[in-house]
Amino acid sequence: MASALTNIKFTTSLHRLHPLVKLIWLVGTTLTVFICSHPLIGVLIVIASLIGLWIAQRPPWRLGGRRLYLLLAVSLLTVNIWAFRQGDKIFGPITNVGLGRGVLAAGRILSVILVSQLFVITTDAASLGQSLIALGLPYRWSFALITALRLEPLFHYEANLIYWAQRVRGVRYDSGPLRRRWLMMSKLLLPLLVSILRTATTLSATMENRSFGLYRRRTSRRPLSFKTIDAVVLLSSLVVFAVLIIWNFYA
Amino acid sequence: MIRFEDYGWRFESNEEWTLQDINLEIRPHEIVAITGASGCGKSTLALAVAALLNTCHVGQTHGAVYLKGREITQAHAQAAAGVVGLVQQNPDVNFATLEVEDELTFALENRCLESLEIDRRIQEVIELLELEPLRNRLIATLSEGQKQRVAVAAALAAHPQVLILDEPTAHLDPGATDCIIHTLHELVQKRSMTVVIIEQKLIPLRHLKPRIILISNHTITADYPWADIPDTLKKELCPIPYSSGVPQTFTQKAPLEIKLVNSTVRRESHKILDNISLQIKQGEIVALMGPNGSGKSSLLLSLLGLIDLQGDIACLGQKDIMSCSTFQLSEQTGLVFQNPDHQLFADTVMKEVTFAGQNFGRDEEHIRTRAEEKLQLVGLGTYRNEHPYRLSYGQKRRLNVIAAILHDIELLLLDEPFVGQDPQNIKWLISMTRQLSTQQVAVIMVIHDPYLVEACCNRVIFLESRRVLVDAPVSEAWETLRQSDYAAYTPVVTAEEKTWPLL
Repeated sequence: MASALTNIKFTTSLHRLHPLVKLIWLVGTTLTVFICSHPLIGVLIVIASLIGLWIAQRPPWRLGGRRLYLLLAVSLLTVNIWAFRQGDKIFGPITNVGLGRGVLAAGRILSVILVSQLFVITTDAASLGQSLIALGLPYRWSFALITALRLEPLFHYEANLIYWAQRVRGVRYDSGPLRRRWLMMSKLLLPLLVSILRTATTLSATMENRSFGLYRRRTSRRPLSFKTIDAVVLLSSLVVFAVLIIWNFYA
Repeated sequence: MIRFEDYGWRFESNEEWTLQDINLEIRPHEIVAITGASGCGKSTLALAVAALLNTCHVGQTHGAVYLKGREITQAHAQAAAGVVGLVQQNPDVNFATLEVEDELTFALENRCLESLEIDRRIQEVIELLELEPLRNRLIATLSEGQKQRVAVAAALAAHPQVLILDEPTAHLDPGATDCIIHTLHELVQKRSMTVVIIEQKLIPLRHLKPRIILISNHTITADYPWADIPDTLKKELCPIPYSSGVPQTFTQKAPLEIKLVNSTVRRESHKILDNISLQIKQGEIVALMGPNGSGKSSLLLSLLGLIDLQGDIACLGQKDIMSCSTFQLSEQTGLVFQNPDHQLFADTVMKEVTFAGQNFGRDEEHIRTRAEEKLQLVGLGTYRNEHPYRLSYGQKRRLNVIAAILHDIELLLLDEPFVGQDPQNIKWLISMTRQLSTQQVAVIMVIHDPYLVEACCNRVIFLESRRVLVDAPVSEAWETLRQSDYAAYTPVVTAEEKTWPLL
């Protein structure tokens, strides 16, 4: 099974779960952290997501963008502590209200980021597409997602090439007037846009030639099955979300 | 099988007709190679056979195209789907899915075949093209040659009666090219099908002995069986004179230009080249060869500080590559990438040519005068106020090269400059590199075609498994490569090939 974003094959138990279960995790977690105002809930979801990522062979120290996420969380925490001075003082200028607000904000943002990462890392794009089709999404739309993922590394590489081509012809992004740097940046876009349009036209021609869109439906060689384990995980997750929300209102 | 009657096509955005008065009949089980200058309409002809012109483009048409006796001039792509299998030039734009097996099933699932039939057909193409080891691989992890084989297999799985390949070997190294040609040869023998190959380089097709159709001035100007191609046509297709290589020794020692000692090139922390040492002197024209993915392009990029290069010594002239910025390293260096469109940034041809000179602070008047001269010289003088994107593919390549050399360079780096270029442009590129060499400019080019190496280079550096396998004058390099299982990368001159002027 290949993950959608990383293009790497993994076979952990999380990768094998039905994509819809993981999609419900993503939506459920996001709703839960924003419905609940107890700071501990965000912390619990962050810990659970980190464990999930570890199981998916992506421990925290190998997580892409980890420094940025950490910086974001620390910034949110600091800003809230600085902004909310009411309540009992805990240490220096830190009050229980400020700390609570800070942990809540940081927990919310980290939860959404980490659960999204977990979803992207453990979900095979083709299977996700298939499950969306099963939910009634037209297969042309579903393939738009798959081909976008397929072409993303290609466009990333081309964007790099264009950037290099500018730099070897004397364009500097580390000095000079800001206006000129902005102008040069905008000139990166034209060759990239031309390349994207050309690739999209060629790929659509290839797909049409291979009978894409010939019929309203298409068969699937490997239809996705919703296994018992998927049902168990889905029900358990729903129960956990419900318990967290209820506990939030009574705590 | 395929018939064109007075057929013509004009893209809405063009004033000229891309194809005009095409009269052609391709019979069942025939192998046909369609050749001609870049932009002559070869690929457009292929799209017409696959009924993709009306599906993916807007334009005007005249005459008629018939596929298996049925007119498809105005038809949608699906009229030809299943009958015609199309493999595009760039392997990366052939794929709609992420995994090899999904790709092989793509067309079959679209045609709503049952799982059992899909399994049977997949097994069939996997055996035919020996793809078992690749079956469960991610497409992104395949080499260019492997991708092209998967693309052919995916087209064949739908059981087409006509297979069209648009420059299938353009991006491949000689080893992968041989593999694809061998695959096609096997295919033709095992499955009697019509094969149409769009190709600039005809020599790799010699084992297939295709019928040759030449398109020039937007129409068919020659049509011969392989055995009967007249010498005049061979000269037109391959205008580079035989044994036209530049002198392979230097009479006097030139100052040192590039020196790498125990150097390592890394890309995103992956070692691409490990512990390599080489020296290149001014005026040398060096062919950088090796299998796809061996680090040729990475070496070029590392010389300008675009990717990481570390070592005991890494010098570009007097500059230390490890401590200088890309701006400093590029001041006396030009780099031309493979795709002409990736390096066009200005809104007129003239501004494009003077772009680097201005950025490096050269005298504006001097740069403009030289730009005028060079543009006239390469036939782009009349286009000086046009947008670069309005030029043809070959013209854009000329513009790229002129734009890269105008700021008084001492080193020119070319990444596969001949890919997709027609014989006339190849000839121009060769003469231009030779001219630069006489002006003591060192040229390093990534190149796969051994015949072109013979025509313009005096030294070969062959990279393999992160190291320099061969670093020698051309003829000496061929000897070593032949002894190292890399004979496909050397010119194999048979009696038949000698009849081609290119060789």
